[in-house]
Amino acid sequence: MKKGASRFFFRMLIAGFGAACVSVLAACAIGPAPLSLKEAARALAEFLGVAHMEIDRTALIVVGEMRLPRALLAFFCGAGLSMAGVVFQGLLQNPLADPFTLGVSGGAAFGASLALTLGLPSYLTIGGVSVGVLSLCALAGALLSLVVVLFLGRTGGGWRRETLVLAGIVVSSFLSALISLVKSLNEESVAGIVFWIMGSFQGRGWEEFWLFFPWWVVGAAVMFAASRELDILLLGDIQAGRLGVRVTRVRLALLAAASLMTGACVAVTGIIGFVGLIVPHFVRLMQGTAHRRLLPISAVCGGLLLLWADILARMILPGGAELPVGVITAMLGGPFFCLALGRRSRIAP
Amino acid sequence: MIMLACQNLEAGYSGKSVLRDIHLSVRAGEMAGLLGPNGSGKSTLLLCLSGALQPLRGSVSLEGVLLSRFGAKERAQKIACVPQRPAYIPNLTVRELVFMGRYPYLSPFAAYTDEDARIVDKAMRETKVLEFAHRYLTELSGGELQRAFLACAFAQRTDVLLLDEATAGLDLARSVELFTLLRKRVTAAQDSGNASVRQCVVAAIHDLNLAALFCDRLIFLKQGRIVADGPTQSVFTRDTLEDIYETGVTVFKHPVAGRPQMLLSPKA
Repeated sequence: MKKGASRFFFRMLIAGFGAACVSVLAACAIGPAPLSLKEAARALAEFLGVAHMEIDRTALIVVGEMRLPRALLAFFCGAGLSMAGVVFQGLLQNPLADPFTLGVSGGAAFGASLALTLGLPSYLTIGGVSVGVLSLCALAGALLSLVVVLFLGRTGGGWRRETLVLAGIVVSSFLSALISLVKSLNEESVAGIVFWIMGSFQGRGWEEFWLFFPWWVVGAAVMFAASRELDILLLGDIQAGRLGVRVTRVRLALLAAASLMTGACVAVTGIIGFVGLIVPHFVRLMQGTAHRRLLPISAVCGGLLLLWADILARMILPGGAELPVGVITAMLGGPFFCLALGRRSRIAP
Repeated sequence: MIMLACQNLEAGYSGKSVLRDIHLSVRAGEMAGLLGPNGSGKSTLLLCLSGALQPLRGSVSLEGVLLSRFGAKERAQKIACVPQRPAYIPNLTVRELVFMGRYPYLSPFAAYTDEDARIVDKAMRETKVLEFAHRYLTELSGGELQRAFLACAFAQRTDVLLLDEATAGLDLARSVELFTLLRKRVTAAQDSGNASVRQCVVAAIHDLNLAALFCDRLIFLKQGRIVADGPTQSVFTRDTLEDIYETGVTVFKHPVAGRPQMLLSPKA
């Protein structure tokens, strides 16, 4: 479109991609039993099979089986939650909307924790295709709580931004209580409950990554495919229809995609709040609302944010103990939410 | 040739009808003003004519084909509508908004072409928004925003153009400019005698004198029914206006334009 804007966009994207690669490398090096960047790079190369290196086996396992999948999971979860935030904000024309404030994360966490408590298998093979049951339960929970929130938050034929978020918080708190109850009745430790309510990447590996990633791809594909329609829907349903958008179909597809994305993230990590709130607002400030550019840049920035938040969560406590990464995003997100609450026109969708 | 036609149209919201017994046809080359008091159903009629609202009874057709038979994009290539000032103004630039007018011509996963860009530029030039093409909609004045939406409608390259209170928020000069522009589109179609040019405009207008000055045909709505419909000279009369607006008026001939104009003359 505009030459300058598009050049800026590509520079941002390339810079973001570079930063992501460096950050993943850093995430592989940092931790208890720290490695130098060079050692981490050698271990990565060996693990990915790009080059054959003489390398210490412990380092190889630490990097390849523990830190790399965790870093990738953090990056793609951050990207997914940011994109889901972008979509929710755009569809609801509400700068306060994000998977967490709308209660979608809470619903997904409840669905997933219920599935685990009931002892459902995480995979089910139907006709040779394995389906992630855990992710499906999280998706069902996410969709269900979204429906409830949209229903509760409806005032006079529309959704006022504060009312909608209020409904989201109510549903979220209620579901958190339910999660705690279900987990307690099942005689699980407090740590297990905290994991769901204040999400964490602790101990996550390749298994969780592959449980999550296919859904991520599906959700992201739908969102990107509908990015033009997202712009037009900002004009309201009537005008969007007059411009040739099949409003109901596009809306349902996008809400489902954003819920799916949230469900997939939450099923493997628990509730990580506010990522989808902070990131899109900053990106809009830099380069406007056009979703064709907003979605990819938000994805990269969200990935970087959550990746570094996770690195911080691993390092901040002395003695190798970990902080749930949700604590860090909530500490960033709370003040930011207040900022967004005061009407700042440029950060609205 | 008849472009838009309503037959026995009844329309409304959640089963309650707002419009009743609407028979209407708009021909190519016509510029029709849609008038009536607040709540008379002007916006509802425009919703039906643009296909955004399904009629409860009766039909709306475009060039003899039922409007509901058209696909969403196909319809948007034929009918454009300039909305009332929207409740929510998105954080997009003027240019991004005007490009949305090319969406009906875009196949899935395709990108806009140079041809689209050329049409968008032309639409922005015609509506004089080109100089602030890169400003955000949230930073515009009411009049500038209105023109940006008009540019979007122009970029749709449609035969039928509907306007909902398009002069609300425009000052005098801008209102006249807008209507002169619309007239030019329509009369260019009339004069060329080219059968492929089939422009027509239906504009809901609040300002009676502006409507009488620029429209060849006026359609008066009251309480959801058409109460007068015809050439401006014959329907813009004291009796009709007093009946519809329930207040005293004086109608006189414009000394220069020769068209009827009105003044309020409240009965003491």
